[in-house]
Amino acid sequence: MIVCRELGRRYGDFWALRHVTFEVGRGQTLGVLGPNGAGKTTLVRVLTTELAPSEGNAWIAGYDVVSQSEKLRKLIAAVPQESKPIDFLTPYEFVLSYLLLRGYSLREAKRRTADSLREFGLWDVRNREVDSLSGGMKRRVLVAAIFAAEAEVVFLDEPTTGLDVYSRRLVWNAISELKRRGTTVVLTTHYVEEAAALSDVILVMDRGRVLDMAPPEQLVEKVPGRHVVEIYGRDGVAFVSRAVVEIGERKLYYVDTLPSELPRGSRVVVRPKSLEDYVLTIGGWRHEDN
Amino acid sequence: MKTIRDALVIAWVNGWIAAVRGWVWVVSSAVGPISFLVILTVYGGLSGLKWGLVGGLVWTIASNGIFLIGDATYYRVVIKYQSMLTAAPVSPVGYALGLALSAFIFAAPTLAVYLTAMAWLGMQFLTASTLYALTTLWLASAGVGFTLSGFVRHMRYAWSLPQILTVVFTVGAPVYYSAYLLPIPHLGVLLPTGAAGILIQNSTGIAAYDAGLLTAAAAALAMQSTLGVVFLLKLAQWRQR
Repeated sequence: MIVCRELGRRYGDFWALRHVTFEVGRGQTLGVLGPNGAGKTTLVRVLTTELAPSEGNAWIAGYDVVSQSEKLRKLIAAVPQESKPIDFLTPYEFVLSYLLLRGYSLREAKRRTADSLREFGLWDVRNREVDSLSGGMKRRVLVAAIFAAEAEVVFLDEPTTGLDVYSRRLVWNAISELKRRGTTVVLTTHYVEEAAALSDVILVMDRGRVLDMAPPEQLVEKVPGRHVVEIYGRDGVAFVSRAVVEIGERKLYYVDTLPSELPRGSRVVVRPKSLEDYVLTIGGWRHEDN
Repeated sequence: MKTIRDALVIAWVNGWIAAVRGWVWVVSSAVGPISFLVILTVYGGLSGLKWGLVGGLVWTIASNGIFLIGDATYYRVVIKYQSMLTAAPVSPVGYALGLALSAFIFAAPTLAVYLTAMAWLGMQFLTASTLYALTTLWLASAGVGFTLSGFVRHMRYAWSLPQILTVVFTVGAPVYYSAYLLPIPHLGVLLPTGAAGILIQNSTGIAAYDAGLLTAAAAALAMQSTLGVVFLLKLAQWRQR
């Protein structure tokens, strides 16, 4: 459904995206994972026909994102990063106008608007101005509009950033429902657990390049050891481990067997390895302040 | 057809709903020309009132077009609404025309007040010349607003720039005074507001210009509005290079 070949985007001498090559099948959810500045949003902007690539090609549903953008736009929908609904409209007006702009008849647009607002728990506030809604509700208005459009490919660029746990899960439900409908979803996020929970396949990016691409469980398998012993504080203990990650006074030991004795006087967590450990152990993921 | 429909939806959202719900903006856009109207009436009596009405008509159309800089920049830079529409089958031309139409809707209540006052004073404004001047001025100023919005990167400039431009366009051109007061009267047609002012002043009888200046004003407006539309359509491309 989505094919990228050596895709690149340059701003002056700076390559925001370089040699990006991957394929995603129809109905799959692609999680694009990476720190701020990894190139996630640039990738989405190129694929949603907003930004011209400097090199390479990309196709969605067989349409070239550059030369066949008009045909492609009928198939896609996007919630851009940091986007907000128009503040003086009501949720009803915002979703309705978006559907009218997508070409739905007034009757059909009204029906879809009502259904989508109910789905996202926004029906009771449908006639309140967006300006008076909470941040989570505003984001849900955007997702409700996209959801009602029934596009074949949906791009969600960090849709849950800044949301509370309830609103975040409502967005997660929407993504699950999109998957159930057979929609191809591109979800960018820097929340590792979100990518793990929702994605069929994860594209790991940093500095504009693809570091890895695989289903989340395969990425987790790449983490050495079977368990993680996470210790905060000066432990004075060195475990026999397959790998160690140090973050300040926090040490993460990746071990095959659990140690018989744990250090006293330190905070210790023993847990199974996760996708977060993959990110911590690949070493290619820079800290945001680096 | 889809382009016209897109324009009407955008105009409904950004013009009708915005004006009804944010009526204070409609009032605020009328305050500037009304203050000129009051001062001109105090100092110039009936003649000043007529100059103030004609000037206010031009100012209202021009300022609402130029203030598209704010709307277009807000949708593109702050709330990313334009990006959302890029990833949808929305005509960029329809979007641009819709914003231009919304500027006209925003100006409509103020225009109605001015036109009613002009009718009450017996001023001739339902002439081909006046309608031509107002239509071309709307297209030219909307083109200026939309074109300049493409260059604005920060919202703080998007609110201040239109205020500066509006003053330049309405005080720097013969909108509230005769073009004959300029060292070279033909300089008055350089800005669309001046060209429209010359045609409307002549049509309503508050100034009498020679045929050469009127022809120059009409020709300038034709060129300025065509350029405005060309830039508006040219810039109304979703994709950034």
